[in-house]
Amino acid sequence: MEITEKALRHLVQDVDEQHRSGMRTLRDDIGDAHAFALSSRRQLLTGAGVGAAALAAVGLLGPRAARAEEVTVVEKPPTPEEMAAHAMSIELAAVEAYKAAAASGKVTTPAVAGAAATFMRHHQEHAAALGSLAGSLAVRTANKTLLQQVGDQITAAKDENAVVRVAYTVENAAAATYFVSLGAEKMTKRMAEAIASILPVESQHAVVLGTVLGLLPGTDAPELIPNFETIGGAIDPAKFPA
Amino acid sequence: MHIYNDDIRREAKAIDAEHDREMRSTTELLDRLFDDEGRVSRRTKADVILGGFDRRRFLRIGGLSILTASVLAACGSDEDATEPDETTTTTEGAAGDVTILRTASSIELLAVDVYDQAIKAEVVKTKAVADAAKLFQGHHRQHADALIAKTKELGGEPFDKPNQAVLAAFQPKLAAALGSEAGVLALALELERTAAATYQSSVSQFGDVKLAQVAMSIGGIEARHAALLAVVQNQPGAPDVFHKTTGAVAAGTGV
Repeated sequence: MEITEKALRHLVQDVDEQHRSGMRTLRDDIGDAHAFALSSRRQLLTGAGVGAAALAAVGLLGPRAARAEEVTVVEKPPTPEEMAAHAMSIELAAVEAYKAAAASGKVTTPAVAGAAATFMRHHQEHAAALGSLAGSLAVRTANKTLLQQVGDQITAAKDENAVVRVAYTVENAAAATYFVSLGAEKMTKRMAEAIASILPVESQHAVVLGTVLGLLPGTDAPELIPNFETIGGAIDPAKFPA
Repeated sequence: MHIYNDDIRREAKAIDAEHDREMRSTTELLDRLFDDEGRVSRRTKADVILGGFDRRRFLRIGGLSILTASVLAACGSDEDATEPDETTTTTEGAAGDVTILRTASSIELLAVDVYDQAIKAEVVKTKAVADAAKLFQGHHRQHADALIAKTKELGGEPFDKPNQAVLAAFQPKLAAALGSEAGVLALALELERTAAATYQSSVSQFGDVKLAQVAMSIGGIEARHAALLAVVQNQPGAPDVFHKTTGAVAAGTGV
Protein backbone atom coordinates (compact mmCIF):
# COMPACT_ATOMS: atom_id res chain seq x y z
CA MET A 1 0.00 0.00 0.00
CA GLU A 2 1.29 3.42 -0.79
CA ILE A 3 0.24 6.73 0.62
CA THR A 4 1.78 10.04 -0.05
CA GLU A 5 2.79 12.65 2.46
CA LYS A 6 0.20 14.98 0.95
CA ALA A 7 -2.58 12.44 1.49
CA LEU A 8 -1.53 11.91 5.09
CA ARG A 9 -1.51 15.59 5.82
CA HIS A 10 -4.95 15.93 4.21
CA LEU A 11 -6.30 13.20 6.42
CA VAL A 12 -4.92 14.86 9.53
CA GLN A 13 -6.46 18.14 8.49
CA ASP A 14 -9.74 16.37 7.80
CA VAL A 15 -9.82 14.94 11.31
CA ASP A 16 -9.08 18.31 12.82
CA GLU A 17 -11.89 19.96 10.88
CA GLN A 18 -14.32 17.22 11.89
CA HIS A 19 -13.43 17.66 15.49
CA ARG A 20 -13.89 21.42 15.45
CA SER A 21 -17.16 21.09 13.58
CA GLY A 22 -18.41 18.64 16.17
CA MET A 23 -17.26 20.67 19.14
CA ARG A 24 -19.22 23.69 17.91
CA THR A 25 -22.50 21.82 18.42
CA LEU A 26 -21.46 19.74 21.42
CA ARG A 27 -22.57 22.25 24.00
CA ASP A 28 -26.11 22.30 22.60
CA ASP A 29 -26.13 18.54 22.22
CA ILE A 30 -25.19 18.06 25.88
CA GLY A 31 -27.97 20.38 26.90
CA ASP A 32 -30.50 18.38 24.88
CA ALA A 33 -29.33 14.93 25.82
CA HIS A 34 -31.10 13.18 28.69
CA ALA A 35 -29.60 9.74 28.42
CA PHE A 36 -26.51 8.73 26.57
CA ALA A 37 -23.45 6.56 27.07
CA LEU A 38 -20.09 8.22 27.55
CA SER A 39 -16.83 6.40 27.99
CA SER A 40 -13.55 7.80 29.22
CA ARG A 41 -11.83 10.64 27.41
CA ARG A 42 -9.09 8.32 26.17
CA GLN A 43 -11.61 5.86 24.78
CA LEU A 44 -13.39 8.64 22.97
CA LEU A 45 -10.16 9.75 21.37
CA THR A 46 -8.87 6.35 20.44
CA GLY A 47 -11.97 4.27 19.99
CA ALA A 48 -14.65 6.47 18.58
CA GLY A 49 -12.84 9.27 16.89
CA VAL A 50 -12.74 12.80 18.18
CA GLY A 51 -15.29 15.44 18.70
CA ALA A 52 -19.02 15.46 18.62
CA ALA A 53 -19.16 14.47 14.98
CA ALA A 54 -17.54 11.17 15.80
CA LEU A 55 -19.74 10.70 18.82
CA ALA A 56 -22.79 11.27 16.69
CA ALA A 57 -21.47 8.84 14.11
CA VAL A 58 -21.43 6.03 16.62
CA GLY A 59 -24.81 7.06 17.98
CA LEU A 60 -23.58 8.23 21.34
CA LEU A 61 -25.25 11.60 21.28
CA GLY A 62 -28.89 12.41 21.27
CA PRO A 63 -31.83 11.77 23.51
CA ARG A 64 -31.73 8.03 23.16
CA ALA A 65 -28.65 5.98 24.00
CA ALA A 66 -27.32 3.68 21.31
CA ARG A 67 -25.95 1.40 23.97
CA ALA A 68 -27.93 -1.17 25.91
CA GLU A 69 -26.90 0.33 29.27
CA GLU A 70 -29.28 2.93 30.66
CA VAL A 71 -27.63 6.09 31.89
CA THR A 72 -29.19 8.61 34.18
CA VAL A 73 -27.90 12.10 34.61
CA VAL A 74 -27.93 12.71 38.36
CA GLU A 75 -26.68 15.06 40.99
CA LYS A 76 -23.07 14.93 42.03
CA PRO A 77 -21.96 12.41 44.66
CA PRO A 78 -21.38 13.78 48.19
CA THR A 79 -18.11 15.42 49.07
CA PRO A 80 -16.13 14.19 52.09
CA GLU A 81 -17.38 17.23 54.02
CA GLU A 82 -20.99 16.33 53.21
CA MET A 83 -20.41 12.72 54.23
CA ALA A 84 -18.83 13.87 57.49
CA ALA A 85 -21.77 16.19 58.19
CA HIS A 86 -24.26 13.37 57.62
CA ALA A 87 -22.30 11.00 59.83
CA MET A 88 -22.07 13.72 62.48
CA SER A 89 -25.86 14.09 62.48
CA ILE A 90 -26.20 10.34 63.01
CA GLU A 91 -23.71 10.36 65.87
CA LEU A 92 -25.62 13.22 67.52
CA ALA A 93 -28.86 11.26 67.06
CA ALA A 94 -27.22 8.29 68.79
CA VAL A 95 -26.23 10.58 71.68
CA GLU A 96 -29.81 11.82 72.03
CA ALA A 97 -31.15 8.28 71.75
CA TYR A 98 -29.02 7.10 74.67
CA LYS A 99 -30.11 10.14 76.67
CA ALA A 100 -33.74 9.29 75.92
CA ALA A 101 -33.13 5.68 76.90
CA ALA A 102 -31.65 6.75 80.24
CA ALA A 103 -34.47 9.22 80.81
CA SER A 104 -37.15 6.61 79.99
CA GLY A 105 -36.57 4.84 83.30
CA LYS A 106 -36.73 1.49 81.54
CA VAL A 107 -33.00 0.72 81.71
CA THR A 108 -32.54 -0.50 85.27
CA THR A 109 -29.65 -2.98 85.13
CA PRO A 110 -26.53 -1.07 86.33
CA ALA A 111 -24.16 -2.75 83.86
CA VAL A 112 -26.50 -1.94 80.97
CA ALA A 113 -26.96 1.65 82.13
CA GLY A 114 -23.18 1.93 82.46
CA ALA A 115 -22.57 0.60 78.97
CA ALA A 116 -25.19 2.97 77.56
CA ALA A 117 -23.54 5.96 79.24
CA THR A 118 -20.14 4.92 77.89
CA PHE A 119 -21.46 4.46 74.37
CA MET A 120 -23.18 7.84 74.53
CA ARG A 121 -19.81 9.46 75.34
CA HIS A 122 -18.20 7.57 72.49
CA HIS A 123 -20.78 8.96 70.07
CA GLN A 124 -20.23 12.49 71.39
CA GLU A 125 -16.51 12.18 70.64
CA HIS A 126 -17.22 10.69 67.23
CA ALA A 127 -19.48 13.64 66.44
CA ALA A 128 -16.79 16.10 67.48
CA ALA A 129 -14.18 14.40 65.30
CA LEU A 130 -16.53 14.37 62.32
CA GLY A 131 -17.28 18.02 62.93
CA SER A 132 -13.63 18.78 62.23
CA LEU A 133 -13.84 16.90 58.95
CA ALA A 134 -17.13 18.53 57.96
CA GLY A 135 -15.66 22.01 58.35
CA SER A 136 -18.23 24.70 57.54
CA LEU A 137 -20.86 21.99 56.93
CA ALA A 138 -20.64 20.71 60.51
CA VAL A 139 -24.09 20.30 62.06
CA ARG A 140 -25.14 21.20 65.59
CA THR A 141 -28.26 19.08 65.88
CA ALA A 142 -29.09 15.42 65.71
CA ASN A 143 -30.45 13.84 62.55
CA LYS A 144 -34.07 14.84 62.94
CA THR A 145 -35.65 11.97 61.01
CA LEU A 146 -33.55 9.31 62.70
CA LEU A 147 -34.08 10.79 66.15
CA GLN A 148 -37.84 10.93 65.62
CA GLN A 149 -37.93 7.28 64.62
CA VAL A 150 -35.68 6.09 67.42
CA GLY A 151 -37.40 8.31 69.97
CA ASP A 152 -40.78 6.83 69.07
CA GLN A 153 -39.38 3.31 69.39
CA ILE A 154 -37.92 4.02 72.84
CA THR A 155 -41.20 5.55 73.95
CA ALA A 156 -43.06 2.47 72.73
CA ALA A 157 -40.55 0.03 74.27
CA LYS A 158 -42.13 -2.25 76.89
CA ASP A 159 -39.04 -3.01 78.90
CA GLU A 160 -35.26 -2.75 79.16
CA ASN A 161 -34.66 -5.42 76.52
CA ALA A 162 -36.83 -3.57 74.01
CA VAL A 163 -34.85 -0.37 74.61
CA VAL A 164 -31.56 -2.26 74.23
CA ARG A 165 -32.91 -3.74 70.99
CA VAL A 166 -33.44 -0.20 69.63
CA ALA A 167 -29.87 0.76 70.54
CA TYR A 168 -28.56 -2.49 69.02
CA THR A 169 -30.29 -1.70 65.72
CA VAL A 170 -28.94 1.87 65.70
CA GLU A 171 -25.37 0.70 66.30
CA ASN A 172 -25.53 -1.86 63.49
CA ALA A 173 -27.09 0.79 61.23
CA ALA A 174 -24.29 3.22 62.07
CA ALA A 175 -21.62 0.61 61.28
CA ALA A 176 -23.34 -0.20 57.98
CA THR A 177 -23.58 3.50 57.11
CA TYR A 178 -19.86 3.99 57.62
CA PHE A 179 -19.15 0.87 55.61
CA VAL A 180 -21.26 2.09 52.70
CA SER A 181 -19.61 5.51 52.76
CA LEU A 182 -16.16 3.94 52.36
CA GLY A 183 -17.24 3.06 48.84
CA ALA A 184 -18.21 6.65 48.02
CA GLU A 185 -16.86 8.07 44.79
CA LYS A 186 -15.21 11.05 46.48
CA MET A 187 -13.84 9.23 49.50
CA THR A 188 -10.51 10.61 50.66
CA LYS A 189 -7.77 8.95 52.68
CA ARG A 190 -8.33 11.35 55.58
CA MET A 191 -12.04 10.54 55.73
CA ALA A 192 -11.36 6.81 55.30
CA GLU A 193 -8.92 6.87 58.21
CA ALA A 194 -11.50 8.55 60.43
CA ILE A 195 -14.14 6.01 59.44
CA ALA A 196 -11.71 3.16 60.05
CA SER A 197 -11.31 4.36 63.63
CA ILE A 198 -15.06 4.72 64.25
CA LEU A 199 -16.71 1.84 62.34
CA PRO A 200 -15.10 -0.88 64.50
CA VAL A 201 -16.32 0.87 67.65
CA GLU A 202 -19.95 1.00 66.45
CA SER A 203 -19.59 -2.68 65.55
CA GLN A 204 -18.30 -3.45 69.02
CA HIS A 205 -21.17 -1.46 70.58
CA ALA A 206 -23.56 -3.66 68.61
CA VAL A 207 -21.90 -6.86 69.83
CA VAL A 208 -21.98 -5.75 73.47
CA LEU A 209 -25.67 -4.84 73.23
CA GLY A 210 -26.32 -8.09 71.39
CA THR A 211 -24.82 -10.08 74.27
CA VAL A 212 -27.09 -8.14 76.68
CA LEU A 213 -30.01 -9.37 74.57
CA GLY A 214 -28.66 -12.91 74.84
CA LEU A 215 -27.99 -13.14 71.14
CA LEU A 216 -25.51 -15.69 69.92
CA PRO A 217 -23.43 -15.32 66.77
CA GLY A 218 -24.21 -17.56 63.85
CA THR A 219 -27.66 -18.47 62.65
CA ASP A 220 -29.29 -17.19 65.86
CA ALA A 221 -28.48 -13.58 65.03
CA PRO A 222 -26.47 -13.38 61.81
CA GLU A 223 -26.21 -9.61 62.00
CA LEU A 224 -24.41 -9.84 65.37
CA ILE A 225 -21.18 -11.11 63.81
CA PRO A 226 -21.55 -11.67 60.06
CA ASN A 227 -18.70 -12.93 57.90
CA PHE A 228 -18.19 -9.47 56.36
CA GLU A 229 -19.49 -6.07 57.34
CA THR A 230 -22.73 -5.45 55.45
CA ILE A 231 -24.63 -2.54 54.00
CA GLY A 232 -27.92 -3.80 55.42
CA GLY A 233 -29.64 -1.14 57.51
CA ALA A 234 -27.35 1.66 56.37
CA ILE A 235 -28.87 5.10 56.95
CA ASP A 236 -29.60 6.68 53.59
CA PRO A 237 -28.75 10.42 53.51
CA ALA A 238 -31.60 10.97 51.07
CA LYS A 239 -34.16 9.61 53.53
CA PHE A 240 -32.37 10.82 56.65
CA PRO A 241 -30.87 14.20 55.68
CA ALA A 242 -28.38 15.80 58.02
CA MET B 1 -24.83 4.03 35.36
CA HIS B 2 -24.87 7.68 36.47
CA ILE B 3 -23.23 10.56 34.68
CA TYR B 4 -23.16 14.18 35.77
CA ASN B 5 -23.76 17.24 33.66
CA ASP B 6 -20.71 19.06 35.02
CA ASP B 7 -18.53 16.04 34.31
CA ILE B 8 -19.77 15.86 30.73
CA ARG B 9 -18.91 19.50 30.11
CA ARG B 10 -15.55 19.11 31.77
CA GLU B 11 -14.81 16.01 29.70
CA ALA B 12 -15.78 17.80 26.50
CA LYS B 13 -13.42 20.65 27.31
CA ALA B 14 -10.67 18.19 28.14
CA ILE B 15 -11.27 16.32 24.89
CA ASP B 16 -10.86 19.56 22.97
CA ALA B 17 -7.63 20.41 24.77
CA GLU B 18 -6.27 16.93 24.27
CA HIS B 19 -7.19 16.99 20.61
CA ASP B 20 -5.20 20.20 20.17
CA ARG B 21 -2.20 18.63 21.90
CA GLU B 22 -2.47 15.48 19.80
CA MET B 23 -2.80 17.47 16.62
CA ARG B 24 0.42 19.33 17.36
CA SER B 25 2.18 16.03 18.02
CA THR B 26 0.72 14.50 14.89
CA THR B 27 1.87 17.39 12.71
CA GLU B 28 5.33 17.14 14.21
CA LEU B 29 5.27 13.39 13.63
CA LEU B 30 4.47 13.87 9.98
CA ASP B 31 7.25 16.42 9.68
CA ARG B 32 9.70 13.95 11.17
CA LEU B 33 8.43 11.02 9.14
CA PHE B 34 8.90 12.90 5.93
CA ASP B 35 12.09 14.60 6.98
CA ASP B 36 14.00 15.57 3.84
CA GLU B 37 17.26 14.27 5.24
CA GLY B 38 15.72 10.76 5.22
CA ARG B 39 16.70 9.91 8.74
CA VAL B 40 13.53 7.87 9.29
CA SER B 41 13.69 4.43 7.77
CA ARG B 42 11.06 3.10 5.40
CA ARG B 43 10.35 0.36 7.89
CA THR B 44 9.58 2.86 10.63
CA LYS B 45 7.39 4.94 8.35
CA ALA B 46 5.52 1.82 7.32
CA ASP B 47 5.10 0.72 10.89
CA VAL B 48 3.68 4.06 11.91
CA ILE B 49 1.17 4.05 9.08
CA LEU B 50 0.53 0.30 9.06
CA GLY B 51 -2.69 -1.33 10.09
CA GLY B 52 -5.01 -0.51 7.27
CA PHE B 53 -4.91 3.21 7.42
CA ASP B 54 -7.92 4.56 9.33
CA ARG B 55 -8.43 7.74 11.27
CA ARG B 56 -8.80 6.17 14.69
CA ARG B 57 -5.55 4.22 14.56
CA PHE B 58 -3.80 7.18 13.04
CA LEU B 59 -4.92 9.39 15.92
CA ARG B 60 -3.78 6.81 18.44
CA ILE B 61 -0.38 6.32 16.90
CA GLY B 62 0.00 9.95 16.06
CA GLY B 63 0.20 10.73 19.75
CA LEU B 64 3.18 11.66 21.78
CA SER B 65 3.99 8.06 22.71
CA ILE B 66 4.95 7.27 19.12
CA LEU B 67 6.69 10.58 18.71
CA THR B 68 8.91 10.04 21.69
CA ALA B 69 9.41 6.32 21.09
CA SER B 70 9.79 4.82 17.61
CA VAL B 71 10.37 7.98 15.59
CA LEU B 72 12.88 9.57 17.93
CA ALA B 73 14.71 6.28 18.18
CA ALA B 74 14.63 5.89 14.40
CA CYS B 75 16.01 9.37 13.86
CA GLY B 76 19.38 8.15 15.06
CA SER B 77 19.87 5.61 12.26
CA ASP B 78 18.29 4.17 9.14
CA GLU B 79 17.33 0.53 8.52
CA ASP B 80 19.10 -0.57 11.67
CA ALA B 81 16.88 1.57 13.84
CA THR B 82 15.59 -0.61 16.59
CA GLU B 83 12.28 -0.21 18.24
CA PRO B 84 12.52 0.73 21.88
CA ASP B 85 11.42 -1.84 24.35
CA GLU B 86 7.94 -1.47 25.65
CA THR B 87 8.16 -0.57 29.25
CA THR B 88 5.59 -1.34 31.82
CA THR B 89 5.46 0.57 34.97
CA THR B 90 4.27 -1.01 38.13
CA THR B 91 3.39 1.84 40.35
CA GLU B 92 4.69 1.84 43.84
CA GLY B 93 1.09 2.31 44.94
CA ALA B 94 -0.21 -0.82 43.23
CA ALA B 95 2.72 -2.98 44.40
CA GLY B 96 2.30 -1.67 47.95
CA ASP B 97 -1.40 -2.49 47.89
CA VAL B 98 -0.65 -6.04 46.81
CA THR B 99 1.83 -6.40 49.68
CA ILE B 100 -0.80 -5.23 52.15
CA LEU B 101 -3.33 -7.74 50.79
CA ARG B 102 -0.78 -10.57 50.89
CA THR B 103 0.05 -9.73 54.49
CA ALA B 104 -3.63 -9.69 55.36
CA SER B 105 -4.37 -13.06 53.77
CA SER B 106 -1.38 -14.58 55.59
CA ILE B 107 -2.73 -13.33 58.92
CA GLU B 108 -6.18 -14.71 58.17
CA LEU B 109 -4.68 -18.11 57.44
CA LEU B 110 -2.65 -17.86 60.63
CA ALA B 111 -5.91 -17.26 62.50
CA VAL B 112 -7.49 -20.29 60.81
CA ASP B 113 -4.52 -22.35 61.93
CA VAL B 114 -4.59 -21.09 65.54
CA TYR B 115 -8.33 -21.71 65.89
CA ASP B 116 -7.79 -25.16 64.40
CA GLN B 117 -5.22 -25.97 67.05
CA ALA B 118 -7.52 -24.60 69.75
CA ILE B 119 -10.47 -26.68 68.53
CA LYS B 120 -8.38 -29.84 68.29
CA ALA B 121 -6.97 -29.28 71.79
CA GLU B 122 -10.55 -29.76 73.07
CA VAL B 123 -9.99 -27.55 76.10
CA VAL B 124 -12.91 -25.24 75.33
CA LYS B 125 -15.80 -26.82 77.20
CA THR B 126 -18.39 -24.02 77.03
CA LYS B 127 -20.57 -24.86 74.04
CA ALA B 128 -21.26 -21.26 73.04
CA VAL B 129 -17.53 -20.49 73.09
CA ALA B 130 -16.68 -23.65 71.13
CA ASP B 131 -19.35 -22.76 68.57
CA ALA B 132 -18.01 -19.20 68.32
CA ALA B 133 -14.47 -20.50 67.74
CA LYS B 134 -15.64 -22.64 64.83
CA LEU B 135 -17.68 -19.73 63.44
CA PHE B 136 -14.74 -17.34 63.69
CA GLN B 137 -12.42 -19.86 62.07
CA GLY B 138 -14.87 -20.07 59.17
CA HIS B 139 -14.97 -16.29 58.90
CA HIS B 140 -11.17 -16.11 58.71
CA ARG B 141 -11.12 -18.70 55.98
CA GLN B 142 -13.62 -16.63 53.98
CA HIS B 143 -11.59 -13.50 54.62
CA ALA B 144 -8.47 -15.23 53.34
CA ASP B 145 -10.30 -16.38 50.20
CA ALA B 146 -11.56 -12.86 49.53
CA LEU B 147 -8.10 -11.35 50.00
CA ILE B 148 -6.48 -13.95 47.78
CA ALA B 149 -9.01 -13.20 45.07
CA LYS B 150 -8.40 -9.48 45.44
CA THR B 151 -4.66 -9.95 45.23
CA LYS B 152 -5.04 -11.84 41.96
CA GLU B 153 -7.43 -9.19 40.67
CA LEU B 154 -4.72 -6.59 41.20
CA GLY B 155 -2.22 -8.74 39.33
CA GLY B 156 -0.31 -9.85 42.40
CA GLU B 157 0.87 -13.26 43.53
CA PRO B 158 -1.47 -14.21 46.39
CA PHE B 159 -0.07 -15.42 49.71
CA ASP B 160 -1.91 -18.58 50.69
CA LYS B 161 -0.06 -19.75 53.79
CA PRO B 162 -0.18 -18.81 57.48
CA ASN B 163 2.17 -15.99 58.34
CA GLN B 164 5.20 -17.65 59.88
CA ALA B 165 6.72 -14.46 61.26
CA VAL B 166 3.56 -13.59 63.19
CA LEU B 167 3.15 -17.22 64.24
CA ALA B 168 6.68 -17.13 65.64
CA ALA B 169 5.68 -14.12 67.74
CA PHE B 170 2.62 -15.97 69.07
CA GLN B 171 4.39 -19.32 69.47
CA PRO B 172 5.65 -18.83 73.06
CA LYS B 173 2.08 -18.15 74.20
CA LEU B 174 0.44 -20.78 72.01
CA ALA B 175 1.52 -23.89 73.86
CA ALA B 176 0.49 -22.45 77.23
CA ALA B 177 -2.79 -21.12 75.84
CA LEU B 178 -3.85 -24.50 74.50
CA GLY B 179 -3.83 -25.88 78.03
CA SER B 180 -7.10 -24.27 79.12
CA GLU B 181 -10.27 -22.56 77.90
CA ALA B 182 -9.16 -19.31 79.56
CA GLY B 183 -5.83 -19.55 77.78
CA VAL B 184 -7.49 -20.10 74.43
CA LEU B 185 -9.84 -17.16 74.97
CA ALA B 186 -6.99 -14.83 75.93
CA LEU B 187 -4.93 -15.83 72.93
CA ALA B 188 -7.87 -15.56 70.55
CA LEU B 189 -8.65 -12.06 71.86
CA GLU B 190 -5.08 -10.94 71.27
CA LEU B 191 -5.10 -12.41 67.79
CA GLU B 192 -8.39 -10.72 66.84
CA ARG B 193 -7.23 -7.37 68.20
CA THR B 194 -4.01 -7.68 66.20
CA ALA B 195 -5.97 -8.45 63.06
CA ALA B 196 -8.43 -5.58 63.59
CA ALA B 197 -5.59 -3.13 64.21
CA THR B 198 -3.81 -4.32 61.08
CA TYR B 199 -6.83 -3.69 58.86
CA GLN B 200 -7.36 -0.24 60.32
CA SER B 201 -3.69 0.55 59.79
CA SER B 202 -3.89 -0.60 56.17
CA VAL B 203 -6.43 2.10 55.38
CA SER B 204 -3.68 4.71 55.84
CA GLN B 205 -1.29 2.76 53.67
CA PHE B 206 -3.30 1.81 50.61
CA GLY B 207 -2.39 3.69 47.46
CA ASP B 208 -5.93 3.11 46.20
CA VAL B 209 -8.35 4.51 48.76
CA LYS B 210 -11.09 2.24 47.36
CA LEU B 211 -9.37 -0.69 49.05
CA ALA B 212 -10.29 0.84 52.40
CA GLN B 213 -13.77 -0.62 52.02
CA VAL B 214 -12.32 -4.05 51.33
CA ALA B 215 -10.16 -3.79 54.43
CA MET B 216 -12.92 -2.59 56.73
CA SER B 217 -15.41 -5.16 55.44
CA ILE B 218 -13.11 -7.55 57.30
CA GLY B 219 -11.59 -5.27 59.95
CA GLY B 220 -15.03 -4.52 61.35
CA ILE B 221 -15.64 -8.22 61.80
CA GLU B 222 -12.33 -8.83 63.56
CA ALA B 223 -13.38 -6.02 65.91
CA ARG B 224 -16.70 -7.79 66.50
CA HIS B 225 -14.84 -11.06 67.18
CA ALA B 226 -12.68 -9.22 69.70
CA ALA B 227 -15.71 -7.62 71.36
CA LEU B 228 -17.43 -10.96 71.94
CA LEU B 229 -14.26 -12.61 73.21
CA ALA B 230 -13.70 -9.68 75.58
CA VAL B 231 -17.25 -9.81 76.94
CA VAL B 232 -16.95 -13.56 77.54
CA GLN B 233 -13.84 -12.81 79.62
CA ASN B 234 -15.62 -10.02 81.54
CA GLN B 235 -13.64 -7.32 79.81
CA PRO B 236 -15.11 -4.22 78.09
CA GLY B 237 -16.25 -5.13 74.61
CA ALA B 238 -15.74 -1.61 73.28
CA PRO B 239 -12.89 -0.25 75.41
CA ASP B 240 -11.85 2.67 73.19
CA VAL B 241 -13.62 5.76 71.89
CA PHE B 242 -11.70 5.43 68.66
CA HIS B 243 -10.34 2.08 67.56
CA LYS B 244 -6.56 1.88 67.72
CA THR B 245 -3.87 0.48 65.45
CA THR B 246 -1.77 -0.68 68.40
CA GLY B 247 -0.21 -4.04 67.60
CA ALA B 248 -0.88 -3.81 63.86
CA VAL B 249 1.32 -6.07 61.75
CA ALA B 250 3.44 -4.07 59.35
CA ALA B 251 2.72 -4.69 55.68
CA GLY B 252 5.22 -7.11 54.21
CA THR B 253 5.92 -8.92 57.47
CA GLY B 254 6.37 -12.59 56.84
CA VAL B 255 5.37 -12.47 53.17
